[in-house]
Amino acid sequence: MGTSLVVTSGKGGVGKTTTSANIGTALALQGKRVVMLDLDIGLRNLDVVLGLSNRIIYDIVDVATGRAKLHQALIKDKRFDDLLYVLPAAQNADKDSVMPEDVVEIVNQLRDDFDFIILDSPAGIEQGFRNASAGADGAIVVTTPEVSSVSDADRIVGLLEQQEMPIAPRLVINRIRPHMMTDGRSMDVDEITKHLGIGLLGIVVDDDEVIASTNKGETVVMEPDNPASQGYRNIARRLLGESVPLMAIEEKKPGFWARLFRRN
Amino acid sequence: METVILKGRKDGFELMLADWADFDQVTADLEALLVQLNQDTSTERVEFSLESGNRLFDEAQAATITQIFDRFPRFTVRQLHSNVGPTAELKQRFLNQAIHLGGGIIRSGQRQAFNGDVLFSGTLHKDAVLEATGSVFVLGEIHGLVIAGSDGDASAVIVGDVSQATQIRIADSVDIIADRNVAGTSLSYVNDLHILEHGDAAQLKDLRPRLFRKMEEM
Repeated sequence: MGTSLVVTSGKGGVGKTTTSANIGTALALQGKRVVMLDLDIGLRNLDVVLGLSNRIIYDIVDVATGRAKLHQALIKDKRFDDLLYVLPAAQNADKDSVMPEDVVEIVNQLRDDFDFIILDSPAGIEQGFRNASAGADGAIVVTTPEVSSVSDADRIVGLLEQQEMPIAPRLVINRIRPHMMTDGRSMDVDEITKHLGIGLLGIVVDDDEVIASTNKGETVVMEPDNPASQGYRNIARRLLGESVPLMAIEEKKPGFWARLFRRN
Repeated sequence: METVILKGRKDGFELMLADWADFDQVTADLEALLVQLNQDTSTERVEFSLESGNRLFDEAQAATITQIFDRFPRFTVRQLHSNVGPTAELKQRFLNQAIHLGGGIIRSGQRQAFNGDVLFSGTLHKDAVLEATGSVFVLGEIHGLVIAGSDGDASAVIVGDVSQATQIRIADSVDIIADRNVAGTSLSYVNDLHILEHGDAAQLKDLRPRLFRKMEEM
């Protein structure tokens, strides 16, 4: 029986879809069968991040309304043999086209065939969030080290706690800028974790390559040496039960010559 | 033993309806007594106070009694009094007087409301609300909004470190904490000029002696 996890945040633009795609890919790299559900009806982009947009024939609304069978709507990512699938959201449908019970039904159908079912939640706390969280056994709450993002994450954690999921919500702190944490201009990891009062699943540093790879329809987690990739890979390993220490957040300090030649 | 006893008081007549007797017996005896009184008394109007002792009449029973009196236009019921009250109402009254215990984390967007006083042990996050019709005592961090005396009770107080709170409210008084420095204070109350003021919890004994005594008795 697969485990379903909703990736959510409340606030938009914190990297939910990127996190979903990278964690899903990292789990597939570990040999797990993973399916990702895009529940952002009307504004889908999980397929874009994974470079699978051209292959969409049916979507989740087609499945919910019975126009297509579930297996017809699943898109296989051929780069990962038979391990990674996506169920895309509809582009031209109302957000109320899918109801929580439809998601629960779809997730239950997928449980036997997949180890992980990742539900990519849209921003906000309305229908899309309710759909995504209804089908989940647990939640990954994504936040950035910004006060507004942490505040929205707090709201989301409160809503998730009311649902009493079998797996307690866990936190991913995304887009960490080490130099800002070092000089105290943004909340640090301990501060955010203590404030939200949930377990820390992992941290991901801000890296240009995340955007660059996304623009190419690839996930950064495919690049083993990239620090953001390491963050996502560590998260996947922790999801699999491994005990992985938190990666050190270190700012790369310029050397003597670099500093010398950067001076005006 | 008689189930209905007529008593004369200085403020009028009182009919004591026996709480140990069957209701049908009481109504029969009441009717018989009123018939007798109607014959014996002159033409003036008479008001009765009905005392039901340790019995609480339900709506149907009260209506039955009213119907009996309706047959005697000169007799009216001033009040129907009982020593006891409805369980739910009394329970609510008891709860309003008790100090409630709350705890944990109240998160952004969440609201915890209490009838009466509350002792909250935990953290109140930003954009969270802790509300009570009575006083609020907080052991922990406050980053959100605390409302005491939410039904308009200006004698309610807030005890705790509110220096990090966004706002506090007592009855209809509001204090935007972000605009001022209240560090080091542990008591917020509405003073005689109806201004929200901050002080030390040690002042509670002098400022709100009744509340202080209530806490001592617990």
